[in-house]
Amino acid sequence: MDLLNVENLTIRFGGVVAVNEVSFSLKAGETLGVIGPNGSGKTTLFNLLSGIYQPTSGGIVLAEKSTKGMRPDEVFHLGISRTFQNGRLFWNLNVLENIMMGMEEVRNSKLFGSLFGTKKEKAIQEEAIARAFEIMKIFGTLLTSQAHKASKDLPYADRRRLEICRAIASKPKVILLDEPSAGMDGLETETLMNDLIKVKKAMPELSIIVVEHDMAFIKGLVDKVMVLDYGRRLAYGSFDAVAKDENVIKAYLGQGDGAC
Amino acid sequence: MTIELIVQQFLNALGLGIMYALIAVGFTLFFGVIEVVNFAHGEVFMLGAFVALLSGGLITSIGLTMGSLPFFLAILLLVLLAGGIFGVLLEKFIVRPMRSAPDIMTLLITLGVSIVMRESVMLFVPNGRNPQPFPKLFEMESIKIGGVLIKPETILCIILSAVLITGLYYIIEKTTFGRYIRATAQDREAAMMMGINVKKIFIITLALGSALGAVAGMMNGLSYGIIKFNMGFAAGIKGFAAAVVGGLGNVYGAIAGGMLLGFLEIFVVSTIPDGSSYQDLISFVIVILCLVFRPAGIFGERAYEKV
Amino acid sequence: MIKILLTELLCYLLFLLFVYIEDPVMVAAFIALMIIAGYMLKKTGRDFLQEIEKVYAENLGKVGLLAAAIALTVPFAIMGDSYWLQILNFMMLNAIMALGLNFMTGRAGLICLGYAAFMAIGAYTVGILTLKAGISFWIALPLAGIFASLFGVILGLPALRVKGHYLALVTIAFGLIVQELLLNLESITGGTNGLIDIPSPSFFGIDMGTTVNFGFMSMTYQANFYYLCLVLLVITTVVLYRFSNSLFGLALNAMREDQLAAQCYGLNLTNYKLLAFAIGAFFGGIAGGVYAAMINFIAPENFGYSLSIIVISMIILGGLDSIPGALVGAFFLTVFPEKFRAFEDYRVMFYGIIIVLCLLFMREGVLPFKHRIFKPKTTGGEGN
Repeated sequence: MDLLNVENLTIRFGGVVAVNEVSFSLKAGETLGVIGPNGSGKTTLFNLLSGIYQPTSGGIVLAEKSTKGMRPDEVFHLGISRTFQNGRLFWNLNVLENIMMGMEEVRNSKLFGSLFGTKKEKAIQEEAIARAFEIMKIFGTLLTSQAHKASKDLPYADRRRLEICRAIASKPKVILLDEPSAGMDGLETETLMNDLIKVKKAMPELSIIVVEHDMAFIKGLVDKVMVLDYGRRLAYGSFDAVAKDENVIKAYLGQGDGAC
Repeated sequence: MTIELIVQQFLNALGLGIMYALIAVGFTLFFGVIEVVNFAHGEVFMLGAFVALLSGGLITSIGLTMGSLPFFLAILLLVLLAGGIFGVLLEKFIVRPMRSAPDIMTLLITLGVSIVMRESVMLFVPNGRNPQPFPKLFEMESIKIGGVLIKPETILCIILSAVLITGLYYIIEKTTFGRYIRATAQDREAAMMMGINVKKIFIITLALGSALGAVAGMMNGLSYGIIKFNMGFAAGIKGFAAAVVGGLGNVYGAIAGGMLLGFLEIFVVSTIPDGSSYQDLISFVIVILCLVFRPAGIFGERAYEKV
Repeated sequence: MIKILLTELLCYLLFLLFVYIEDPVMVAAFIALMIIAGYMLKKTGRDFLQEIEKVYAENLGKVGLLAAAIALTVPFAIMGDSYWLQILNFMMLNAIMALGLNFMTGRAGLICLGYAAFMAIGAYTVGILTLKAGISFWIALPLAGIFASLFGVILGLPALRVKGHYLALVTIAFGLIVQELLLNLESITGGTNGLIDIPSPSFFGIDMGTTVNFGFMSMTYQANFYYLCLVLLVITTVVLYRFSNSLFGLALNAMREDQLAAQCYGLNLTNYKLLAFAIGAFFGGIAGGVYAAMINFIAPENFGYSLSIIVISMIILGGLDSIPGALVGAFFLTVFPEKFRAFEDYRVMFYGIIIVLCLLFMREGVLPFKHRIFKPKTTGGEGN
């Protein structure tokens, strides 16, 4: 049974159709890679999935619930969390707090408890902090050693890692990773890929949709691939099948026989 | 309502609207090009009026007689200069140092500047607290068209504004500088990479917008014959409201917004009994409604936040 | 512990000294000296300052308790001087407002340039209820806060859809509209003439509007209000501190940092924004309510744009999102201008200059409290 079902998803901005009749599905525990040239609608797709934009037509169904008309915070509660292409951390909050913001407990805290510092409130806080550290450990000591630093003071690669931690913190059903390895060098990218494999092992029910340009990264991580071009789904299937797809080769390398 | 009354109110609305338009253009230029909201802009309106008031003596001392055309033009020039200089100083000492700060702080600092200006005039201009009678800068006679008595000041202001707006249009659309301004407004980084001296563009934009605002203040003095140290406060808010209604960053929207606000105000004042006490309130309410239901303004583009 | 005691007593002594100096030249010299001393301390005594800051941050309870104890003795230390008692009362009311505004603007990131409206609502609620309906002050005061909260929500509703400069405009408009309403609804509010002869509250039978007899000393009625304001200020500080340093406060900070990201991480922006407005406004109402009962006369002109600016300048001076900063800002910007009574006319301009200078040269404020809400207990590597 599919966890996530997207059918004929379309969005129009004035005259531009940014996402055009895109359909795909995802089972629990599956990883989908989304590739395509810049401007092909990948981030727009993510914005649709997370509820920032409302589709012009088509539907998104997660765990048999439609996300039609839902605000981003409602979509989050349904079980979708994400990272952002340009990185959107809470800059003046420290690492620990950024991750805590991903957790349900933060939103469930009651004003009364806040005011009187009840035992229950304190317990919630302690637990949240402990869990945040557990999540940080996925990346070894990179983040745990900097847990007190404001996120704006982190080196670039650690910021991307922190975003991923924050996304996992809510124990989502699906996470959307928007170019997680952007700006990383070869070694960092490989480390990231291995770390994500660790995450998948630790959370086998977690489904991942990752937008990337690095093909090796995609190949090592995903179960299937979807190629977007000008908002349309160009190909959809296993990595090898897609890599051999004629349309994909044309879109990436141009018409005629091969590159020079 | 007699036809005479309607015509007069129409002209009043036109005069008021065009004044708001001139202020609104400044706000919209600052926002579109420099991406700042300049809360001190309302005070440049007051500055223009007071410069016009206080420089009468200076101008007569160089031989021009009060009330003559050359006299009026000299005052106009002074007002434009005063506005321009104010803009330049504001850019250098306030806007530029705050480039790295969050937008809220730039807003607050210009607010602080507006307070200092307002209080300074109140304290340092002789008898500053009280309304000051505004001199007749240009001796004209009332015109009678078909039985309707028209104040010459209103016509003068309308003509002057038309000239200024046409001049602005020419500058923005037809000159190189105007092209640079439009380019900077569209994409600052690209403009810099194309060799445009963005710093200079900022200075020019602030000078231009402030000069227009200053003239609006002078016109206000001409039209109503009285000015007061706190005239910039309401004018600033309304000018900003007009710019917002027209869509911040859109110069023609600002002009339209100003006209709309002016007409609405006159309409309320002339039709609702005891309307004049609600005149100011009308603008505030309209702004809030606009911001809530159509935040991008009537002519603004729907900006999708870059995610 | 000793350090806290010594530093607080030092501040107390400096304060008393400041109160007693009469000659304006001496006052100016004193202020200059303080500024130079502060500047030199920042340059050379870095480590010392950091140590003090650490001790304070870790012992907030003791710091507060001691400060409150010191505050209890102030009326006696100034020999019951009614003029200065009144100033201190205003300072505490300003501090309550600064804390409320700081919560809205500093913590939740919602700029508000019309805060005076909340004080007005509180003042008129107490004024109308006690004067016209004969309701006890002690019931009217919490109602003043609640009513102000309601108006906070009313402001919050249109404010939900706007950000930044648009929000600033909406809040200015809100402040002006409330003032207009107070002027125009003459039958309830008394119009431009306002409300006069608002009764003073009575506390267990004692009329707070009369002199206080301590046995060995008697003071004018301002002393009564001094203690009332002190209690309210302490309550406000503690309540807002707790709200700020909780998961709720963390969520508000996240909303301030990035509204879209916060929303994508499950924050219902509407609820949080309205709550922030309601809570912040509540304290404005309380301050207004006490003001009405203390001065016994209120008029719309007391609660205009200038007042909103004054409160904003206090939190800018103190540092946005800093509770000690708000207290310090309120202190300096209420007490200092009083010494220069002769320059009363220049007061509003002074506040404008403070705003400009602070934002140019001291953007973080005098006392930016960089203490994050949740700090990790161990900062070392925990191993793989």
